[in-house]
Amino acid sequence: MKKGFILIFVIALFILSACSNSFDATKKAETLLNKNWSEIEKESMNKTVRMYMWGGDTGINQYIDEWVAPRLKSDHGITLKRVPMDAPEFLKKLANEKRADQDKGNMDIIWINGENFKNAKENGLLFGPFANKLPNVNKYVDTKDLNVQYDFGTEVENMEAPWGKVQFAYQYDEAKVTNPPQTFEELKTWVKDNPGKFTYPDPTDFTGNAFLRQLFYVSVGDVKNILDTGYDESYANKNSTYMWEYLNEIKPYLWRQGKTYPNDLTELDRLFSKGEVYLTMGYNEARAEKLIEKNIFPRTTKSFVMKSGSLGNTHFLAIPYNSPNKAGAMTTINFLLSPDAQLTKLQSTYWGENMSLDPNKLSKKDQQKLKSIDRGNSVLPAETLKQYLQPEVDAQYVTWLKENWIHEVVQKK
Amino acid sequence: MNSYIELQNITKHFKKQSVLNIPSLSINKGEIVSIVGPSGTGKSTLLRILAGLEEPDSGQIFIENQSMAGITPQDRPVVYMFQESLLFPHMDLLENVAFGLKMRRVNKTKRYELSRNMMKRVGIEGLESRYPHEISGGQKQRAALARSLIVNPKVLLLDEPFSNLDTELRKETRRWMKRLLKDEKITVLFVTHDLEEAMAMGDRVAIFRDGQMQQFAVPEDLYDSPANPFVSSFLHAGFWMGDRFIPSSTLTICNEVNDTFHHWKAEIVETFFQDSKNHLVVCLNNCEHLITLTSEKHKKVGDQVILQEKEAVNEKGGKE
Amino acid sequence: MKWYKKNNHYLLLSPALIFTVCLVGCGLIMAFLESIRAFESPSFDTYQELLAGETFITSLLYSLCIALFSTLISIIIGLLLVRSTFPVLKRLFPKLIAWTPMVFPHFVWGYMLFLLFSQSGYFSSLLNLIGLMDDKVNFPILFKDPFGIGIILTYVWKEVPFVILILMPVYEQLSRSQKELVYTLGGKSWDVFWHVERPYVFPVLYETFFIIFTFVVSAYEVPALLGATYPKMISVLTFDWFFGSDWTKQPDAFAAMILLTLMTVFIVFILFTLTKNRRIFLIQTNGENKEYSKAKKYEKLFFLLIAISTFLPLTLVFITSLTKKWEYGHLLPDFISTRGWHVLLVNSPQLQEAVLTSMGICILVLIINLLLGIPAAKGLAFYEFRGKSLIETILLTPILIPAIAIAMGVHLTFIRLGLANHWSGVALVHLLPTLPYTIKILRAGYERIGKQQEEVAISLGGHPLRIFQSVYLPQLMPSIRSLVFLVTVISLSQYFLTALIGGGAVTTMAILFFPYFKTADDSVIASFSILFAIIPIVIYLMVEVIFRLILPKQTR
Repeated sequence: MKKGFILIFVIALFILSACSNSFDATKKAETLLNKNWSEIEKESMNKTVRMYMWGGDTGINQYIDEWVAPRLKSDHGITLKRVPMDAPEFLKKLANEKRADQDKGNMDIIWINGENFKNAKENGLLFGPFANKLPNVNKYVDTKDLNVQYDFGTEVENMEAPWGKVQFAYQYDEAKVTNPPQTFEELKTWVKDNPGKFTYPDPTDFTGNAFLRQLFYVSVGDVKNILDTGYDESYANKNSTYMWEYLNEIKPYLWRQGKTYPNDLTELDRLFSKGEVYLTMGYNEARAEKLIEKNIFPRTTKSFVMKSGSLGNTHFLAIPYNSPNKAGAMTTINFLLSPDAQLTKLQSTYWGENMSLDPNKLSKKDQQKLKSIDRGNSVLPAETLKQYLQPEVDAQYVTWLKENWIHEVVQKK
Repeated sequence: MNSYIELQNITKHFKKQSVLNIPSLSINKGEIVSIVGPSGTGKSTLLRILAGLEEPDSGQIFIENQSMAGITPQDRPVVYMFQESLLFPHMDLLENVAFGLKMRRVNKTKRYELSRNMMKRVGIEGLESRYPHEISGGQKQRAALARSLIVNPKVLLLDEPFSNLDTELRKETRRWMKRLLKDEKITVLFVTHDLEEAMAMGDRVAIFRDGQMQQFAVPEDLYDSPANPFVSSFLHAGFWMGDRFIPSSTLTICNEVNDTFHHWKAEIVETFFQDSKNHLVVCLNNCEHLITLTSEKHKKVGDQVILQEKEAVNEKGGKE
Repeated sequence: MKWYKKNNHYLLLSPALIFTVCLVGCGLIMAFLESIRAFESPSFDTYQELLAGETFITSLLYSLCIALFSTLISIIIGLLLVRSTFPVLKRLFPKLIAWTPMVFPHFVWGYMLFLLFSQSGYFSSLLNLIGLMDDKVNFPILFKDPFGIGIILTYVWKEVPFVILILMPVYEQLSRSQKELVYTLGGKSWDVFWHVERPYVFPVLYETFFIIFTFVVSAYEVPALLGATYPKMISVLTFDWFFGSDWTKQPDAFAAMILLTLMTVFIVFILFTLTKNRRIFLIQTNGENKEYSKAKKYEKLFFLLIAISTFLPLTLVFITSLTKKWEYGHLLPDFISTRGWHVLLVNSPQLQEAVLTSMGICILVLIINLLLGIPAAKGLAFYEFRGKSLIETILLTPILIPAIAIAMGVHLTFIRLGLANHWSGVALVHLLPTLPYTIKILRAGYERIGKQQEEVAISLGGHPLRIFQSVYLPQLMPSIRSLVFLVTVISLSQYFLTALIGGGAVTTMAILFFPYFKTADDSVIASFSILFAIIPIVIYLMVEVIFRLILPKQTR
């Protein structure tokens, strides 16, 4: 019988040795970035590119599968495979691969921004700088734009290329709400007048956090105060009194008296579609269009932005350090940033999301095409959006808000 | 070595306690040996060791002069039959009986033909397509025997095969079984705790106690000259006076005390009438010994009687 | 040779044991190293902070409470249902109806109940329609409430069929004569339960208890979908820490999972040791005196209840999958369309690949499960030996430990072994959440058949494989049927492990459709839920056909 235990012991030893780590990675010389573009394009012929991206929107998925993939195949001989996966998950996978020194992974393009980009960049999970090698970036993107140079306060440094821009907007049902609030003060009054008809997602959710950030901007007075100094916790603590008081004041008038919050935007949207709440919100000024089309949101859905400002951010495409086909990834990203691909993306049939390109840099023909695109009734005019646009701040504020919201709002009785 | 089965120095321990210890045992070809003893005395262990289902801690087994060491249960010329019939519940009787042949890869037509014959011989023809839960206990036991015999074992090990049957069925079953086994000339080891059964089935009977074989002899010898007090009291065969054994067959109940000869006071604890004879179970010496006598005299439970040896009574009578 | 012969059980158990110890051990060691920040500055500070902090303790207690209530309620309802409807449930069709909820992954079932019972759900709508309720806010809050009612409801609904599955064989074994004995001695039905059923039923219930309990404590999807903002269940909390943007929170996640693991493993080990001897009761295989179907009072009524609780959510989800627009307070949808199905079947070019991959992996997982599980189950059923409780606990660990706790270590190992990003790795990792169930179910099967049949067969000259094929396999079929269901359902609904180990190179149904759960698009989610349940049924039928071919003649 003892032998049985010896056997187990041996297994345990085996495991220990299998698990132990070796951190001696040998960096391969990066020759790809020194090549010129035509060589890179040639190298990517007849290869497969695997693109990892959030897959919860049928419109976005169809844009990639039905519009992008066939054109990439015919124009560049690249087979594009879309892999639906959430950013935190593929980053965990990538971090593990890095830890195991796996030089050849299987992800070629990842769709990230903000905190995820910060984590990836700081942990050396990205390949680059590559964005400045892409002809379409150099030709059409406004590289001086702060929204392109910085991603939530983290310097981009060409480690990712901008894919699209979105702006935060609120959606409401015109049939139920005649006069939507224009400022946070008006929102407070509106919430008190319509108890149970408003809520916001838990700030662990992307959207819920963005809602809080905008209130935080009001709380600190001017966004410049936090934009220039970077992350400063003591400053944030001192200047957040207004925000916490505001949230606690409206709490009893929220959906379910603020005893619970929707876990994510999906739940808020569902509440809105069932008429349990009258307002929803989200990081994409055109998001209502497709939901209306699918009969999830009522036809009378309209959107508004607060006069105090509306957050805008850019999302990006990056290449993992261990991508097996970096040339193909670069070619694909370049294609996705072509005016053609970007204008198609803007149309509400697929995605309806704003371009990352500078409209002024487009050709006359493309500019005309841009003008002719009807983004739908629920989308605010470009001028209004631009007028109230506000930048994102350091990604660490996201975490700070998430944690403090729990003590300051949820756990307070 | 002329004997068919030969056991040498077989020992078996379980949790440091000796459960079986047999210095030697030999059994002849075609013999039916009954093994009897109180429960928990290693009878079944002996069968399991013979069958190869368990390994002895030491000792050797020879069957037809061939050592069984290292021979798997499958390859031994031995079949083990359990207390319960243990027919496979998911097979019909024909499949059950044919099982051993199937294991030997006999083809289907052949094995079903053989099985039908065997079922006829054990008297369960016509039940081929029945399932075990549809037939009676006696039929199950017959089927189980058929299943064991179909592989032509040289040795058959029966572990209390009748214990789940009622008395009449038991007797009937054991009679035809003995006849059948004798016809087939199979060597049989038969474990039971029922004395009557052991005597009826066995050519020779082995008596076990605490893993030790006490005596191994033909029934008459057991009764007339038991090896030790355990055997005698187990058989109710008589009792010991010092070194001298007094078989119960030599005892009789007498009415008056005769001082010339040995006599013993006894109390009657049970009376029953069987086989046209009146049987008395009496206990001697404050119930140290129990013996069974037949007597013409009618006695009641609780009566005090005096026992004397028959010869002594006869002698006395002769003198008078 | 001799050692091998004497220690047959170790040989039987070692494949499953080696597999479990390797994977779980590796995962746990990595998790522990992470939790003490072994690669930076090793210390136990994380543990101290956790145990001192309110958040962790609250959510741990909250999880324990929810798990306890869900488990107890499921077991009591399951026991009552089996007792009262047993004769009906023995028949194939009613049995399938009772088991149907098991075909759906937990989160799908949670979603179905949400459609029924949320404030704007179908019942609320129905009450409004018949004029009993004028506003949806008056409907009782059952989901996302601080008491976790919705979570408990979902678990109970899902676990009751599991309890029925486990208890059915026990009730099939119960002896009628013992019952009659109690009646003749003047016992009432309670005495029958206590003296005849309890000795057989309770050991099984103990096991069922901690299987469900540990599952509920560490499962993520349902509380994430239906839980309130505060308090959060421990699994949700650790998940947030693990996947959160703040990567410095990772040690907290691992530490919390290690603590949870220690606690559950400890509880289970104690329970095993305490209940070890009671299993003996189960080893009784006298096929006679079985209870025959005897109609009971209200059994039809109870069965109707089971049928309704199965079909109501199913019907609703089916209608929802075809709904275009459904106003609150209307009995039926206002407009119907096949858009949801269209999105799934037409607009998903990867669907075919996903279906085939999923089925391939399921079948592979099933085969390996049987190969590892059958010997291990036999070893546990037929042998008594030192350290049995320990080995039982080890074999059960994969379902006692939250998947994310060991996922990282397993992933690192698989990368080294070249199994990551490959279907073989995914199939192996799916063994973790399935093998313990396989062993449990098969073990019960073996115990029911008994060891003596093997000895008879050996004595008649059967060699192990032949004996298995002709004696045990046919009699294990009922057990194998239930585990085919269980294993395919579990394997299909694995999202996180598949995503990490398969790395996106392996597209299963879960990978393809899980993201849709993050939309408010009910018709797509509903269609997806149905599609998800069809696959286990297809695989079940396939396995059935294969077995029909392998086993020439069948009695059951």
